[in-house]
Amino acid sequence: MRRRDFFFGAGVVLFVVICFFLRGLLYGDQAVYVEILQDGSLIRREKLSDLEGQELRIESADGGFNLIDFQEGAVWVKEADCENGDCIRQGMIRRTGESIICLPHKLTVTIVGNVDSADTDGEIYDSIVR
Amino acid sequence: MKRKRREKMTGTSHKSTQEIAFLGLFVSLSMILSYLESLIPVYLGAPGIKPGLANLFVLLLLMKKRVREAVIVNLLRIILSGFLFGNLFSIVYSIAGAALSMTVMYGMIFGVRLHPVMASVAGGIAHNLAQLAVALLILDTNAMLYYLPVLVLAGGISGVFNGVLAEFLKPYLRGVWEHS
Repeated sequence: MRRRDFFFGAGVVLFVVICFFLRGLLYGDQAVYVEILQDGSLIRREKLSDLEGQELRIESADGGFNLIDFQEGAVWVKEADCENGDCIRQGMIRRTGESIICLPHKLTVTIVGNVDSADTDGEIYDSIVR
Repeated sequence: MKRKRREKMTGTSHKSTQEIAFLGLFVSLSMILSYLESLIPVYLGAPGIKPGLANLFVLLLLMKKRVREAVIVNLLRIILSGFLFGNLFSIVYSIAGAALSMTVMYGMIFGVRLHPVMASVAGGIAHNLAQLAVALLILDTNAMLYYLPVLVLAGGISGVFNGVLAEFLKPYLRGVWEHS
């Protein structure tokens, strides 16, 4: 059993190292834009520099909200009325690829480099009406 | 004779008071651990990462070959914790993680025959991967994939921690849940 365990453990370590390495390659761009997705659709894409010092209030379909703050190049959720408040506890993000998520509100706030977005066809929606 | 055969023959399962007491203890202890984890304000490198200490008792029960008890303790812990400290979201989220985690651990311990520590590593990783999958589905975006290596690493580390603790605690459970 010893050998099997060793290979398994080594495999895990190897996988993690490779993943981090690939991630560094894929997400290497400078942090330029922040993208906000609601329910999988992109609702805002702004330059981080444009939003400096501002706050964005995102309303969700069920009447909830998330208050996103932008300070010194970092993005964080200042206030939200989701039940567990996990999005607030996720703290600040600054690097390309990092995200803050609010599962109850189906909200994703991602920092993105110059070129492609987190996941969309490029369309920006003003809001989602249900 | 073997426990299974005797249980089938007599139509009862012999659960000693001691075993029941331990199960109650396991449920409450894992609830406490869950609660303590929810208090930690530290952001561990990815959204939703937790030390996953509550899995310790599930692992112990699996090591003692009590699969049914492991599942029940885990479910009870999740539902009760969910009602007390969480919400419906957290319950569903946790159940997904626990379901995959237990299945993987069972397979690793009894199928692949890994050492409990490695099985716990596999379980921890599986738990985080299941939660990642749930997040991907709910949010409908691939953004969370950025955190894949962090989730696997964290799951692995908490798995090691749990596994070592379980090995350490196992002698204290000698005589309980042996072939009685």
